Amino acid sequence: MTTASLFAKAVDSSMSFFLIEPQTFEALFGRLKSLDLLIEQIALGGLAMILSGMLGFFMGRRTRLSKYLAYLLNRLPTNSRDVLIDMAYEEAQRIRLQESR
Amino acid sequence: MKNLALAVVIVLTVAGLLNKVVGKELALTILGSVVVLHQWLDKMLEKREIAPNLTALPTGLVRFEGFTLPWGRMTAYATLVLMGLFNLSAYAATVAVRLTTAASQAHLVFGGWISQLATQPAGTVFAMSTTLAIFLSPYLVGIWIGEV
Repeated sequence: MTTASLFAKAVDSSMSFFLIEPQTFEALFGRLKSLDLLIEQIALGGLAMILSGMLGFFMGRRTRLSKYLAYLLNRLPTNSRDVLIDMAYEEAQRIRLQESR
Repeated sequence: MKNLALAVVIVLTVAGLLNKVVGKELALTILGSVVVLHQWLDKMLEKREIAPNLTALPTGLVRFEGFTLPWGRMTAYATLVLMGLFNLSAYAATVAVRLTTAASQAHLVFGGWISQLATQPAGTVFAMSTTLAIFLSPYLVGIWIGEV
């Protein structure tokens, strides 16, 4: 995620830097076209992307198990799927009852 | 990796052709389609039994530990999808700038936040539109990477 974020930001900012005309660039970014600005854009933008990307990554990790279960269930016929769901429900119910005692 | 390189070349060629018709930002949006094209090339050229999909889930039946994509492939996919999303947001930002400029030139009267936006300079509108993409795109791609 970190590599992808930095690489994508570097390519995107470089493309904006080299392809946009100086006047348009100044109007859009409010500063003169300079190498310092490009480095600043990559560093700050990359950092923001890494932080939000890591947040997304941890959210994704939390749902990974349910995603895998859905992936497995999608490969089963409907009746097998129903049996597994019933089994999971009964197990959860059994544990809940045990805990409430 | 050979098929991935081929998929990137095909998509860049198509983007190059589209560039003349729809402009750079919208043309580069299709970079994200490499994910599906690469799987499709794997299916056609390597005769692999896979059903190409946007989430690029592992093919066949794998254990939980194997429910992931190789690091290199995931990095390439994520980079290209992010670049596609950035260009989509840059296109949306350009449209927003044009609309607000046209609205202020035509002295249109808006209410609420639209009136605030219409009076902002082009740079502010552009920055507001792209900042959302800088935070939202990696977050969504991060969720995708975290799940597989």
